[in-house]
Amino acid sequence: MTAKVEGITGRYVHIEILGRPHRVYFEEAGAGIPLLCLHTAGSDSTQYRYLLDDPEILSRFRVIAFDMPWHGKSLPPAGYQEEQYLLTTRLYTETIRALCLGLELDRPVAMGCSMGGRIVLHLAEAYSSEFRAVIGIEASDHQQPWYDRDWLHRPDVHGGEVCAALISGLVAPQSSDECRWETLWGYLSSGPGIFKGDLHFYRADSDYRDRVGLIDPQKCPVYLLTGEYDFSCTPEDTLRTAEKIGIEAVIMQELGHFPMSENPDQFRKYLMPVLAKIT
Amino acid sequence: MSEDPTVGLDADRKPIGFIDRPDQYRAASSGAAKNATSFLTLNALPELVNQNAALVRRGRFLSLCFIMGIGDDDWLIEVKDGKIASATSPPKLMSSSRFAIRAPAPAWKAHWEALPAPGYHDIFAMIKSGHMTITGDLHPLMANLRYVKEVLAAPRIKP
Repeated sequence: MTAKVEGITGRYVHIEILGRPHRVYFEEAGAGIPLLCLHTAGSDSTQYRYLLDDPEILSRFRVIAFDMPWHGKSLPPAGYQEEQYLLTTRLYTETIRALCLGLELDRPVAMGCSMGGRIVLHLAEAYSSEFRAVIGIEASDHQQPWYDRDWLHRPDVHGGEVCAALISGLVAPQSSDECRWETLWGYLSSGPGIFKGDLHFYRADSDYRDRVGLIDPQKCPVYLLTGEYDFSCTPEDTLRTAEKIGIEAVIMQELGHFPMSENPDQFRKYLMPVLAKIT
Repeated sequence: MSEDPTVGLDADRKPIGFIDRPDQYRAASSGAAKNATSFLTLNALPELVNQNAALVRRGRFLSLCFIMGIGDDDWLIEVKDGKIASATSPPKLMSSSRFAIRAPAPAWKAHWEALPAPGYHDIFAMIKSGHMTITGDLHPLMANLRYVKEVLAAPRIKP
């Protein structure tokens, strides 16, 4: 072949989540310590495509990124047509644990962004023995809402268009147009009500302000990285969370809410020192 | 300073919409200084939007009037099929408008920098921090959110 073909493998794993069968799409590349990547609310695992094609990272890590059910190439479960999708701490946690079990991952590193960054705090607190470390990108124990999420799913406003236009400002202005619009495509193309359903977890069922102090970073190291342009999960939100855990957080320059996809080269400068600490 | 032809330059070769000092903005609110392009005005907004064919196409289903408030100055922005038909300040007495977006002049100026500082790079960042307000009927705004945000950002200095 003369064209570039990336070394990413995409497959489907059949797992039960809270007793319900699911067919979940995941991509992986590399070998070594499993690094499980969690996408943001209302998007999919495409956000990690640059990590999945980074030779230096792949030489030490088996990078795995999956689409949550209802997202990307993971279908909703059978019977979804009568349901309202609502993610909860319990459902999110058990989705991740079922996937780790199904893929027989040995104490993976869990790395998540935004709502993925929120849930890894819960994993570090409640399931510290199952994870080698967690990396929270744009992560905090709580944040103040900045819009009414009823706008995200109603018949007289296009859901994909309004989701993308709302979050477009979370991308830092230094990001390239190509990466910016690739990031926004995840929102433009998401299913109806899915971003809103994810935000049920993010806004209504994951206030960890009284919980993050229980995390023992000796048992499960926690690394927090937040972009200076993120006004959703603000640097202040992350710094407050880090202080409660008793760790240092890093505020990343020229980055917003989607570091891994909006500006992968800039994000790499901050991620590589973290990955170097993980053995 | 920008040499981009899409940003109008005044006699001092400063982009239209650029203010140096708040006192210039205050002067712009009164009398003869009203039309001076070195003050923060939206006189160039119709041209900046209407020459952008892709932006006009995105707004082709939108026809309404809304207010852009720059400090104490309200500008009535008339949108017709995605084009800016007029930008007028002060609005004529008893002008109708569907929604209003208001911020102090320094906040708009910061929003229109080529690389805005964190917190000024997006209208929702400014709303969250209290630098900007949106009032009125938000439905046409939300249904055309990308278009409206790009109209509001049209005076931005090109990097």
